[in-house]
Amino acid sequence: MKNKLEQIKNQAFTDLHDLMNKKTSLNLEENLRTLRIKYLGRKGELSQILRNLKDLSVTEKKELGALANSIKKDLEAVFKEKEDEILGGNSKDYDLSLPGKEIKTGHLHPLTLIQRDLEDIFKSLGFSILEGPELESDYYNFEALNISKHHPARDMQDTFYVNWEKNKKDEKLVMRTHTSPVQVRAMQTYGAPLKAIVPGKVFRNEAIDASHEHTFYQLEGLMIDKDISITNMIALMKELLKGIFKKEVPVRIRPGFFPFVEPGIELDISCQLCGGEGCSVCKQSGWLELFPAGMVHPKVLEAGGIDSKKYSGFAFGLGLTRLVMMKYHINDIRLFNSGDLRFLEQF
Amino acid sequence: MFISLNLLEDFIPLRKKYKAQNLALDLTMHTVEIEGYQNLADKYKQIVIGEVLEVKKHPQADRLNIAQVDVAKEKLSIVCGANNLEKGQKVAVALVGATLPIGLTITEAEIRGENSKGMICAEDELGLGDDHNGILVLDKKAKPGLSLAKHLGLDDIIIEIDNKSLSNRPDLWGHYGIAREIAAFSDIKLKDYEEIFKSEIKIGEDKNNLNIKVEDNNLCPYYSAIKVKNIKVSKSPLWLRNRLLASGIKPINNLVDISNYVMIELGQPLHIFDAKDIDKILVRKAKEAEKIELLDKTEKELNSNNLLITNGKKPLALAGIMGGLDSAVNDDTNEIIIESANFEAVNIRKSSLNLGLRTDASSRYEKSLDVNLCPLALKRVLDLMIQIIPDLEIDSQITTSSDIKNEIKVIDLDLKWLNKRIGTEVDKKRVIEILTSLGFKIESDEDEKLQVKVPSYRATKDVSIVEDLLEEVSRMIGYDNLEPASPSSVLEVPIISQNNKIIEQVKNILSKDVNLTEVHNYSFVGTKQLNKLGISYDNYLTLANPLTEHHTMLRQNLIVNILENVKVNQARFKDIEIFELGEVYLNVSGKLQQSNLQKSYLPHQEKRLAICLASDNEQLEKIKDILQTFVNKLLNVKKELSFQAFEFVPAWANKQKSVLVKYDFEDLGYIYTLNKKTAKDLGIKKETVISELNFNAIKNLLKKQDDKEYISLPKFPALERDLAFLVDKKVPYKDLKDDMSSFHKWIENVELFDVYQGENIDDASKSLAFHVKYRLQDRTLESKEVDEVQTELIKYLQEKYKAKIRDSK
Repeated sequence: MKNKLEQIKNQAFTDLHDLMNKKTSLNLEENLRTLRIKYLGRKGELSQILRNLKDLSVTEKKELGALANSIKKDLEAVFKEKEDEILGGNSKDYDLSLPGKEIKTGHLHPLTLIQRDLEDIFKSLGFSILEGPELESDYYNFEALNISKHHPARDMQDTFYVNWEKNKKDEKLVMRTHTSPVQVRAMQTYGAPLKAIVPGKVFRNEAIDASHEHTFYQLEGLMIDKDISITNMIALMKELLKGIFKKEVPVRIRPGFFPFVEPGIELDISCQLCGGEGCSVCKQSGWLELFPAGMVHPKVLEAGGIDSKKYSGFAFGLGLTRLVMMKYHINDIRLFNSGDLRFLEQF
Repeated sequence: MFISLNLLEDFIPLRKKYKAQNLALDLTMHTVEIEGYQNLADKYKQIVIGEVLEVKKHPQADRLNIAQVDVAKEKLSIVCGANNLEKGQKVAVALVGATLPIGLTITEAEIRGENSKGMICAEDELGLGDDHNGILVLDKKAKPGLSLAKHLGLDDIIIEIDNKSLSNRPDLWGHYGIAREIAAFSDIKLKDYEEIFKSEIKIGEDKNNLNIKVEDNNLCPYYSAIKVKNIKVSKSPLWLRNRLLASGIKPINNLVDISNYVMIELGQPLHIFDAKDIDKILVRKAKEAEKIELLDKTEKELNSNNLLITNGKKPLALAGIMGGLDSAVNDDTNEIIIESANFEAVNIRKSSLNLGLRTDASSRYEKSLDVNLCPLALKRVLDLMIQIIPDLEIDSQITTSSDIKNEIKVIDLDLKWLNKRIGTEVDKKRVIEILTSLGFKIESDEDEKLQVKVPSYRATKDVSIVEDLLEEVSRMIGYDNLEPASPSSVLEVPIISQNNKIIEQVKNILSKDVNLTEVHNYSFVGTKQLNKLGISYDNYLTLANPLTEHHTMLRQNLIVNILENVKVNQARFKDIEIFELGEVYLNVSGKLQQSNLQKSYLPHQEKRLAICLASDNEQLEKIKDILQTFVNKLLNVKKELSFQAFEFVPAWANKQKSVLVKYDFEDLGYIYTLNKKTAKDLGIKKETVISELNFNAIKNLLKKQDDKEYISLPKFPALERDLAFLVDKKVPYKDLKDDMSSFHKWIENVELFDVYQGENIDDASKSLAFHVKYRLQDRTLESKEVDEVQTELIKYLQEKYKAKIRDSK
């Protein structure tokens, strides 16, 4: 009897070992249950032996009973262990619906995000991405762009002037009022043909409120080649809009005056906030000025060292900050430079 | 600028063809930007004519009357305080619900117990003038119940033009120029300006010339004037006042009103002097510090660039900007001199800017006016004066300083070129039609080449090159009518701006790998902030025209403003982890030229990268982790940054906890811990560290990566030994590591894996544990020989650093 018990125990361990070492999980759970019933079930081998104990003497009963119970305990423990390996054991008490804990994430500034979108579009069209100084000379910011010292067009851009003792007293530097100075710098450096954009920070001497900022972002574009025409310019601008808005947006193109282009145009898009119905953002007109553009003025080409008889081109400026406001429906321009994480963490 | 459709109608019959909305749109699409338009009558809605039937004293108030007013539909009882109210008068009644032009909305009210249904208005309350001496009394023929707007001829539509879009178009600063544009894009015929004149201007042959002398013909190319006597100064007739009001100009008296009216018609400013003290006109530059009292009752001190109209003795007017008070017309004026002159644009602009005087006249002169407008405007003034003051007598010849010199501009226009630049074929006939409708003349027309003469009113500044003609043609066709065409350009690899790519990488790693949030800050700082930080700003570049005291100088680091970000967020966020990539502006010459024409350079500007951590506990270690991870990710290598103390720690930083950051031998920047005192001064409640790195240094690291080469895999295994020892706390890890690394040529790598200070170690010491890796390239090292070197290393450390070995294996 004692031998029989040891035999059952060994057999059970062997069967279990074989089962668990099969290189497949196919029907594993079921096979394990069958095995458990075989050894530990009500009609299992161990139960049968225990049932036969009643016929034995008291000492034998005591000895074999203790042994059988200990074997039963061992087997139960080992079956439990194997079941846990497969079924996860106590982890079934875990509340599966608990939320995931957040690992802190960083955020890029919304201007960076939109700037990248635009850069991607232009890169795919073969444009270079250039940059220029934010603190500029009067020459590049105005003179080279056909805006002489006493041109009334200087009124169009309220300018921050900067004192510098190394310059003569009347030669103040300026915080660039637009990204256009890079047009001339790029022409001087790279010559024609040239396809480039210049995203960057610009400054206007304007009091700050919800819709005015003295510091904002623009994106300048420039394309110079032989025989570039007005219809080329219009084609590029419309293509660009498709890229930005991912859909056809109604536009209108009208004359506009900027000294560094001739002719100059303004491209308006149907107001994206009111759908062209008229709202406070578009001053009830249904249209938003999105980008000023024009054919590069021959004087500007000449300043850039490019032969205006041989080459022509167009340039445009895009209000990046305004575009971001439109895209995310941001109604307070001050947020961009606020450093307020409640704002920045939304992007 | 405001344009009245009624006034335009005098020059071009457009009412039949155009609704205001369409006109505004066409002007916008072909000529200038229209800001909006308004029906003037809307300003006077629910204001009607009433007849005063009866006036009774108010039983409760001596100064008030109760009037019974007939407004056709009903009879209203209105309480009124005016002392000129009389039975039988025709008056302007604002009905209940009306909103006056001054913004007041009329409600039914009880005034001292008497019900009042409306208001009888005074001139100023209606925005029709300054008069508040009682109610406005209308003429007897006015019909009760009729709207006031209709009665006054205020049923006009006003179009507002964005002045900015006019800055290159001197010809559009009057209604006639706008009418000319409309004629060009609409097919409606424009009247000749002189067609609208109604009077016969008679000047006696016996009349003399005036004595006019111009000293500087450059600043005043043309001066004309005429003397008129038997003048009676009075209020202008209603139609004239209305026309001025419609264009946003306040009526003053008949003389001033006439000159202003001609200005809004033609764009030519005029001036009228009281002739009492004038027997001669001398146009000259002002003397230094010469003074003049102007019409607006301010006194201006002048300099020698300002141009004056004088009578030879004293100044009469600031030329082209504003008249003087002494020579101004007043109620007793009997004789006048009318000036119609041309002044040089840049000088007017300079004077008006430096005297801080922008007037209707100066903003026109500074655009470069056509001298041919002068005689035309003068004639028109006389024409109107004769209509309004029939008794006047012209008392001099029209006297001019010189003849009009017309510069004739002819531009060659090659139609093939034109088509190429537009990008589409435009019929020659159409080109000629557009140009002639705008006043250009085709001087010759051979094959595809035209010679185009520019009209004088476009020749002063606006049109001078063939590209200007390109604009005329394309805007009149309308840009929206042009078919877009893709440019055919040559394939070319774009210029790769290295910065752009690196910036993208840097920002990605900082936001995505080390989880910082990007901020943007202003480029400007103020003295207040810098003082708190103890940063000297003697060397800072300053704004010549700052807006606020917070933004007066150009920043020389990103730290000042990023600390503000901590303050803004500290109440709401436990951990603040941010970065900024931005420009600083230093007071030394940089490499970029101010112009290619001369050798002067812009101040040096460079990009910096600032990383700022603020939390409730110390952040120094964390920022080191971040920098190390950042550099590893950026360069794709595992290589230690070195951190070391440095000498000139700024006043606001904790000297014990500020370090110089290096990679190899390159200084990348610094880490600073904000000290407690400054934090308190700034109102920052968190433990704050900032690292400011030089973007160029980061760029240089990446450049070196370009030369990166594959290192062949080691052929022989390495042996590793661990070494733990105690040293004096003050011995920097960096020194130990460097010494160990260079101790023996077999040592390939030394890596710190544990640092411990505290329990079980005496207070003056710290425990460091290193992995030391030994390898040779040409054979396998034997354990024994490595042990020998390790023993020597230990001896060396014991001798040099008094290291106490804890463990070696």
